[in-house]
Amino acid sequence: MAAKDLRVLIVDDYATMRRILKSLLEQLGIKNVEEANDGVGALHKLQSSKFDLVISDWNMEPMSGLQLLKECRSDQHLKSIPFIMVTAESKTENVLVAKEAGVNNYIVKPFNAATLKSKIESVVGPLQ
Amino acid sequence: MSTQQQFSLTDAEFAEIQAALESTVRGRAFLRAYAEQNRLVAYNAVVELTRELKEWTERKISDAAEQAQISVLRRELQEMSACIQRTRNEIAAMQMKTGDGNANSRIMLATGELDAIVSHTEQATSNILNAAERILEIAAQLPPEHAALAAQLSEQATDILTECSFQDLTGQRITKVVNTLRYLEQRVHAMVEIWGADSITPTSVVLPTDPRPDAHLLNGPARPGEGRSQEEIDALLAGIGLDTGSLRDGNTDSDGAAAPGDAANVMPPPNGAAGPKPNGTLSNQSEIDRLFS
Repeated sequence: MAAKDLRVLIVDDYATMRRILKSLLEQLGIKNVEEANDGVGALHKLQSSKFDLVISDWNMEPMSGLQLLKECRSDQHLKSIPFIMVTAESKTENVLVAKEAGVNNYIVKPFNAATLKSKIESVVGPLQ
Repeated sequence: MSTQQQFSLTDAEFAEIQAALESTVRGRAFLRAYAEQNRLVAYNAVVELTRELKEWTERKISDAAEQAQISVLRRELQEMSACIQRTRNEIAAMQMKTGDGNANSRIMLATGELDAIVSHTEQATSNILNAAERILEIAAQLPPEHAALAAQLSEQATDILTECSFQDLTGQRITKVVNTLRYLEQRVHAMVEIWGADSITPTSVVLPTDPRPDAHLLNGPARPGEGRSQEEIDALLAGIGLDTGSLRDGNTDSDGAAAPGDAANVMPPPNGAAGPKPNGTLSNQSEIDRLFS
């Protein structure tokens, strides 16, 4: 998939983390990036506009990344949207719960650019 | 009557009468009966004395035991009282006011320091990100003959970007500590109300002291709004006739406080390391990858 055509929503309550992700995505050629600082804002954006990929933190308030994922999977229009969890929650139990909820891939913080690229490509296909 | 009551026999008179009585049958019978009667009286007297002695002894033993119990009880009460006093002092010490008269407890002060750490690292991270992004821009502007150099610069700047995620992780950890401290503060406050420790000046608690003569001046990095900016310090020094020149090139915090200047101690997590691992039952990225393969 052409990176420049990819529209990505970054969801994280830490502005610094959103900025890092956005810069890394730009390095990958993904310029069309929107941001939300929690699940509620993200869901609103997802329901009002089309995105190709969601990259979300887990630990946010009032709606967590897992809740957002479940909301997406229960929404007729969002149930198939690629969803990558990027979080510091690295217990096996967390990963399994996220997978059960329908996450497409899972990145543990801190991560590097290569990891982010490989996970995105595993979900949306090779970036061109 | 008085002469009869007061009359006493001498030994010789007693022996004479006894001999007279023993000389006749009736006299000897009298003496036997008299001796028997006296033995019974003496026996009864001894029995009575023994009973009284036994009662007296038992009473003394009981009194001594009671005294011992009271003594133990008194000692226990004194120890309890001392313990309560020490507890009140300890709680009062935790609640002790700061040198400038603020009623903030030490726990609240520690919480404030941690909040300041989060704020400062966030600002520092933002500055680092600015620099890394500027490097990326510069690398993108290099002419084609420097493509290899541009690639190296981009790679290094990208590494800087990703390493800046430490701020997210340290922020989450510190938030956990802050929440714990706030919980402790609430519990201490509840104990203060229960024990009435807010009216106590701790006397027996040995507080940590800094022996340095300038200890009262050593408060660490200033919190937002508390310190002076370099410009203010320059103006202050100029006001007392000291030519400061250019001490620094605007290296002040956004809030105007002096910067700690010890960024070398802020170590990012190892490259590619997993996130916070408070216990040993966690996944790493390669384990997670296997779940999705």
